[in-house]
Amino acid sequence: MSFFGKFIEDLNATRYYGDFIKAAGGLEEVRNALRWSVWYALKWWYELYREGLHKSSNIFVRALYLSLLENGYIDKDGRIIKKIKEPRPPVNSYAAEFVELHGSFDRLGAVKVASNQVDENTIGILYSTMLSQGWYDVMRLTFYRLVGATAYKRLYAPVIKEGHDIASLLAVSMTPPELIVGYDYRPDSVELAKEVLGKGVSVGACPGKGICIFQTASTCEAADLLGPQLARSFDAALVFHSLYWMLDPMRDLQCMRRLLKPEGKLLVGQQVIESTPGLVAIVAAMGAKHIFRSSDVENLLEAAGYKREKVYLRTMPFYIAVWRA
Amino acid sequence: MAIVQKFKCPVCGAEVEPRLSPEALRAYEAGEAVLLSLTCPNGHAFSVVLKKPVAEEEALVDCEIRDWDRFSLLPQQQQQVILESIQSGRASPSIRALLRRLKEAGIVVCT
Repeated sequence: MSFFGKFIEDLNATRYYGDFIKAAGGLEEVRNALRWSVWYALKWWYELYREGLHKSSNIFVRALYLSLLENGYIDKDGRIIKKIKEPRPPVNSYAAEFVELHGSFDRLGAVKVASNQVDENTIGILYSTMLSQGWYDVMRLTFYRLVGATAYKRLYAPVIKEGHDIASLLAVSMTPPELIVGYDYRPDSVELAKEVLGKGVSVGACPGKGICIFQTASTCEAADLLGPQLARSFDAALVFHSLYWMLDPMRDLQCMRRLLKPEGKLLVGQQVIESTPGLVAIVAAMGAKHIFRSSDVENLLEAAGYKREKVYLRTMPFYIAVWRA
Repeated sequence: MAIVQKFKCPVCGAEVEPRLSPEALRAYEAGEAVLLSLTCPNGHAFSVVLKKPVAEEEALVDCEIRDWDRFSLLPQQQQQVILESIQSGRASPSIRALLRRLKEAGIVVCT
């Protein structure tokens, strides 16, 4: 990104993501936390490179490689060409939580993660930890406010993960949406979402109101199960850090158009490799299926037939935009 | 006018969907108890108190950390949250998923 591009992105981050920046201790504190993400990413890359694992096709290694390459820290052969000094310890609690997540992941060992020697339970625990951390919730809530997520009565949420995104939305909605439908392909995610969201969640069926969850491979199967009475009936789809978890994002997005009303909104928040290298790699290790550049996200949405309505941020802290069906 | 909950008539069992005025809805959303006088489709009059359910907390009975080495892999703040929950015997919905994973991994054991 050019100097001018970076300047505009910084300006937009302050303008649109001000609440998150304030809660995390101000712009300098946030920058410091982001530097930690780079610092850890470089540490892990160094460890992988030393062990000759830098050319592995493991998605964690690929995410690190692409993110560090994109941000100019390594060359295409994987050699480190730019280093950063160890940042100062964070002061703000939310910034500290973010950095500590990297620290926890670091204790698993990058080499072990890249060699698939860390058991799934441990990775799962770290995944649940991240989703329930305060900084992540502040990030969610700032996103919801920015894209006006609480204004929609009928919402579709692909890849619900553990239900935290829906729980946070309900917590800040003056009037809860009349219907929220979501799916996840992982049975553990569906089970845990039931725990997080409490009683009253319908699983595998949908009475047309409340919260309905399906365990299916994609939106296409969820749309089939919902049937013609709920086709083209959703005001918006909440695609918050979900695209990279989808098994086939293009197919999923196309099927989502069967559910959205004409002109229905797609509220997109998506981590991209231009943003936080350490976090991108952590989420890849947790099981994310894809790695995107900001431009990949836009191309994907366009190819799936959506029209861009407003782009708030392209890279930092992540891609945020509203598209329409 | 909004419908937030259905009630059954205590006389005939018919369902009634009370419509809340904007003022009543605001009070309901604020967690206040709202007294409603209803009439079912068969003409029976009755009163109900409507109150928004608060987030349920899960009771944790006799739980302890069994594997401190693996528990210490969690970020400090999350360790504190889990320890506080175990000590108080209550777990808020936001950490239920994490707690369940910790139990499944044998790091937290509840008897």
